[in-house]
Formats: sequence, C-alpha cells, structure tokens
Amino acid sequence: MTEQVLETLPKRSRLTPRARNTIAGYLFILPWLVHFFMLILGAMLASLVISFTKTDLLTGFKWVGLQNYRDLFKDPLFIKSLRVTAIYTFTVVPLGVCVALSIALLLNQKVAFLGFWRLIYYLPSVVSGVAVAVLWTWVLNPRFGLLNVGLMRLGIPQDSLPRWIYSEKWAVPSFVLMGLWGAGGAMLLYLAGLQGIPTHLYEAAMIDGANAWQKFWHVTIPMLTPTIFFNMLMSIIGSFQVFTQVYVMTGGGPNNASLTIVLYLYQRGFVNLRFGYASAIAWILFFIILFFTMLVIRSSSMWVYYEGELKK
Amino acid sequence: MFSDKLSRRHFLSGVAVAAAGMALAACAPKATPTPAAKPAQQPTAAPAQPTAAPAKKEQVTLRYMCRSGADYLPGVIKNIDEDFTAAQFPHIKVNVEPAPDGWVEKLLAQMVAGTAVDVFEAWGNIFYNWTERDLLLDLQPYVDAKMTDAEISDYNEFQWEGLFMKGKRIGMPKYINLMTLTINKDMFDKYGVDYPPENGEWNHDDYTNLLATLTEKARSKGDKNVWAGWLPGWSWDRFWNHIHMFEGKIVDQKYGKVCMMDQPEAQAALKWMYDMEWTWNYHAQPAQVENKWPGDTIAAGLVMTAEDGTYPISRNKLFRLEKGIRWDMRHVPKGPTGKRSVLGTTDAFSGTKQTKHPDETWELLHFLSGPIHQEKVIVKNNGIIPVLKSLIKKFIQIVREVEPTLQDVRLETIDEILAWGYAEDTPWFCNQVAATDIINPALQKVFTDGGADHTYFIEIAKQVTESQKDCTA
Repeated sequence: MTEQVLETLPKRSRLTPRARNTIAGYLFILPWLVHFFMLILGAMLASLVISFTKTDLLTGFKWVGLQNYRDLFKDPLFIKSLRVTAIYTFTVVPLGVCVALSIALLLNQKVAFLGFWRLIYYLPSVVSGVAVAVLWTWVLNPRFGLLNVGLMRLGIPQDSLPRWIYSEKWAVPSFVLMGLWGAGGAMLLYLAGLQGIPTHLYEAAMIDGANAWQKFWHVTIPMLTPTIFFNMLMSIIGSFQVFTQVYVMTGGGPNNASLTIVLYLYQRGFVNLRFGYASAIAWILFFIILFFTMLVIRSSSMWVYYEGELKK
Repeated sequence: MFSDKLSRRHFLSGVAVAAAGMALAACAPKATPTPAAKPAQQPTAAPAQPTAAPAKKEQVTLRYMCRSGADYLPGVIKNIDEDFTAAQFPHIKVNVEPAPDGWVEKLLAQMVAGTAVDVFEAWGNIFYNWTERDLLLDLQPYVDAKMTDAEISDYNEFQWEGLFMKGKRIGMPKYINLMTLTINKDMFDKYGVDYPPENGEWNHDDYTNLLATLTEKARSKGDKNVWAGWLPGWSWDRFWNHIHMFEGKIVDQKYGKVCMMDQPEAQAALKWMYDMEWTWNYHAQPAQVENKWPGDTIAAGLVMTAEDGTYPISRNKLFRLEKGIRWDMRHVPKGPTGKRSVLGTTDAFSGTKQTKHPDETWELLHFLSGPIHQEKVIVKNNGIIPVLKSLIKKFIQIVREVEPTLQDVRLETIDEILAWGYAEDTPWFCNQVAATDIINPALQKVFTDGGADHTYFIEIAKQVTESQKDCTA
C-alpha cells in the first residue's frame, strides 16, 4: 500500500534548487549561445580554416598553409587598403572625439530649444548607411553640392574647389567628413557623462580659484575619461570596418584611393571568388583591431579616471 | 517492468527525442546528389534528336531566375506558359523567379548550397568568372546536335563567338545592346548646330570640331553647366572601342597575355580621349556630371551628346515622354584610318551546370533565344534589340508602332551597325581579373581624377603584361 502511494507521487528531483536555477538560466540564454557558437564563433573558426586554403567554395578546397598570408603582404592593393583604412581611422577617431565632445559641451548649456538641438545632432546616427551615402553624394557634389556652394560663398574660386569623391586627393577626407557627421551617437554618451559629473567638484574648483578652462581641463575631462575610453574603443572598431559608404559612393576609387580593407575583402571574396584569400584578409583585420583595442584598454590605466579612484 | 501508462515525463522525453531526431534529419544532406558530391549530369556528345512523336515524358519543373523588371515580368511568364510549355513542351513547367537585388552573390550562394536555379541571365565578365570555375552548362553539344547552320547564321557573329569561352558555349544570346552617339536635338537646335551625319560619314576630327562648336555656342550664351559630350572613359566598356578605332589594341589577341596600351596607336586614342576631357573639356569630366551614366546625363540636361547604349523604348520613355527631350541616335565617328568600333554586348541566357535537367534546360534556353520569345518578349514586351538578324527590321517597325514618337529617331542606325559589322565583343586577357585589377584603377586615375595623362598607360601596360605571365589558360 505504502509502495503504491509512493509510486503515484511525483519523483523528487535529484537536482538541488541551485542547480535547477543554473540550468534554467542557461536555457534562457540558449538562443543567444546557439547564435554565438554556430553563427559567430563557428563561422569565425570556419573562416580561419578557409584562410589556409585556396577555394572559391564551389569547386573544392586546396590546402595552401600560410601562402595566403604571405601573398597578402606582397599584394600592393592590400597594402594600399591598409594605408587608406589607417588614415581614415586615425583621422576620424580623434576628430570624432573632439567634435562629439564639443557638441555635447554646447548642448549641456542652458539654451533655447535644447531638445530640438539634441534631436537634430542625434538624428544622423539613426539613419541607415546607404541613405547617408546617397545623401552625402549630393552634399559632396563638386558643382552644386552644399559643401562647395558654401565654400564658393566664402570666396573660394570654383576652379580651386575640391572635387571630393571624384579626386584621389580628397576621397578619404570626404569619408572622414561623413564620419564626423555621425558624431551624434557619441555626443549623446558624452552628454550623459557630463550630466553625471558631481557639481561639488566644480564648486571645489571654484573655491580653489579655477577659471573656466581649468575647470574643463582638470574636472570635466578627467571625469569624462571613462566615456571617452568607451567611445574611442567603439569608433576604432567601427572605423576599421568602414564599408557601406565607400561601396556605395566610390567603389574604392578613384584609382583605389578609397579602397578600405573590408571593401578589398569583399572584392576578393565575392567578386573574384577567392574566399581563402578574403578570409586571410579578415583575420589580419581581426588582429589589427584586436591590437589597437588591447592598446587602448592597456593604456587606459594611465588616462582613464573613475570617480573616487586614487591614482598613484 | 514497463508501465502501461505513459507518464508526462516519458511523453515529454519522447517528444524531445523525436524533435531532436527531426531536427537532425532536417540538417542532414539531401538524398539527391549535390554538385559537391557528384557533378551534374553532362549532356552527351550527341543528345537524342527530337522525334516527331515523342513518348510520354516525365514532368519536369525548371527554375528560371529572370532579371526583367516588374513591368516586364508578366509578359515573360505569359510567353513561356503559352508558347513554350503549352504549345511545345507540356512536360516542362517553368517557374520564373524574379532576380533579387544582389542576384550575383545570391546565385553563387545557391550554387554553394546546391540549390541553384536551372536558368539565369548574365553577361561577359560574370560568364568569364564562372566558366573558369566550370559552373555553367556547356551548350555546344546541343548546338552541334540540334541547330542548323542557317539557324546559327541568324545570330550576330560578335555575340555568337563571344559566348564561346574557354572551349565551351556558355549561353544563348538574350538581347543586343549597342553603343551609338545619342544626341539631344533640342540643344543642337538651340545653339544652331547641325546634327551629325545620318550616314555615319564623319571622323574623330569632325566629332572634335562638333563638340568644340557646341561648347563654344553654349558658353557664349552663358550656359556654364552644360557640356557638349560625355564619354565615361573610366568604364571598361566605354573606352576600348576608341583604341580599336585608332587601329590600336588592348591585348594582342583574344585571351592574350600582352597588353598593347603602350603602342603608338593606342596612345593616340588615349591622348584624344584625355584631351577631349581634360585639355579642352568638350567631353564632360565625371565630377561635372556627377558621374551619371550617359543616358541619365542627357535626361538631366547636362550634356548634348553621349556615347550610350541603345534601349529604344525605355530611352524614349525617359527622354521624350518624361523629359520632353527630342533625341536621336547616330553612328560613332570613324577613326583616323576609317575604322569604326563599338561594344556589342554578350548578354545571354545561361544554364547552371548543377541543373538536374540539362536537356530541358537546353530546350528553354533555345526557346528564349529563338524567334518566338525574341519577338514577343524582347521586342514587343521589353523594346530591346533582338538577337536574330532576321528580326531587326521587324523590331524597328514594332517599336515605332508601340512608341510612335520613335518615328523621329533614326533606329535604322541599329540595323546598319549590325549589317556593317562593327560591333565587337569586349577584349579578353588570359587572366582578365588581373588585367582589370590594374587597368580599371588606371582608367579612373586618368579619366575620373585627371591625375595623369595618357602616357600613364605605358607603365600600366607593362604591369598588365607582367600580371599575365603565369597565366596558362
């Protein structure tokens, strides 16, 4: 009788409540884990293997070891794409910090229609890449584009105006300008950072006799360094991967003057069907981004300050 | 030992095992052979001749990736349903799939996955890349077995030969796009300048003088934002014909290894192009016309003439009906020794090698390139030049019936280009990818940026020749 009663009762789980919670937690994040391991990590590892092969993915794989990597560093187009991407990144990242911070400082003041101005400056960050590219094709039009018309109004003769994306010399600066136009995203973070700086720090500085510049340099900037650090990291990663606007506006031209690494990767992979070579480019780019990311992270102990932290 | 009742726990366990099994089954390779596992069936050297009363055949469904726009697609489907399936091949059903944006990459992805369509449409450089990888159905055995000499001779030689690549016939001609000089007659009239001669009896000096006069008249009337001509020299398909007209060459022979752009004849042509654009600015510079395609620059009123392709009905809709521009077409001028050359495209219908129905694919390709589809769809539905010589005069008559304002446009120029035989397929290097990797940026440097003149191609020619030395094809 007792045995029969026991059989009808649900069996007690052998798992502890903690283990059950752990399993439940993993089940909740399972979709993301599947996505990460199969679609990101799996694809990355596959591309690593592919980078050691010669393949068009259609007619088989031929193991070539490190040959793709050796060829890359003898490939003048790859070297050029590295140079173009580096110039773009090391111009747009520091300038982006300055522009976004400047706008944030302006929008941190008590000015009329503050919400409207914030919206206007933030808007470019939510516009899709292709739409931005089309818009800037018009802005940069050498004949009647907004930029050149403005320069003409300033008295610059028409013959001396830049031909922007139609010129080898001005192609990369054109994309830098476009990059700066999207500074609104970083601006919002700086604005949040500025509003989080305790007022007592400014009061203390005032008591010590600090002027506006000294308050900015010794209070605002140090207190904003965590935000600067985050923004810088994100924009380094993003700008090394610049693709859409170049693909849409110039296709890397003229004369490969705007050929970025990711565009070159695309051309080699999807146009020339050299997927082994393209994968090798992807991995070189990965390590370049990793290097600069680590550099910024490692150096952050020297220049990033957190409130309450004591620096020796 | 086993309970008669199925507990909830056991039921759930069973369901989970079944679901996992189904998921695994879904992920497993299909039972049907894929290209990776086994190459698609190749046509035999001599496919069976069609018989008068064929035995009942197995029903086959073909997938055709069609690049016609939404306006034209219903006409394509109707024609295939009525004149191919219903009238000739009841056992072949054709599913027409509109080509998506980025169709090249998507079709490649289909090929990798083993799910490629049977029939698609493309042109020269795509065919070249895919022929190198043996991705296309070789149609030559079918042509040998099923087409008569008379039938073959109705195609234009430049297209028929152009679609024979690396020893294989990789497509059947789809339509023809030829380069002519498109002119804006309103602008000629405005500036009081005579149109170029209808009979084509003019040369590059006449062309230069005409554009000089148009430029001068426009400037004298204060029109600063209009240019006499437009030749996008940075584009592969728009520059080499001028070199040919100057008796020069890009490459020593078809699939050759020696770049000839450093030779005096080629240099003379490149100098003429450079001067027209940068020294005299009779041809617009790309930055002046936003690097638009020739037709769009005319529609925008930026240029008075442009070396452009021929799509009579769509051009007429754009120029005459939308913009109110009276336009016309003329032969490009002759070169210094009287030679004339323009690009004639090798647009074609092609079959993927992994098709499981090569015989039926051939029948569809043959039909699409044949007289019924060419007349009803390519001419009447799409208003484009058909591939068959026998249809050209009819084409001119039909498009004028469809668009009566085309009476003003000298469409006979098209007939003459084909009859005089000066349309050519694009030049091909042994390693075309390596050659274009070097030449295209150089064209941009000279004709987009203006950062170097024609002599830049002397060094470029050496680089191109060097890039071909390991080519063994």
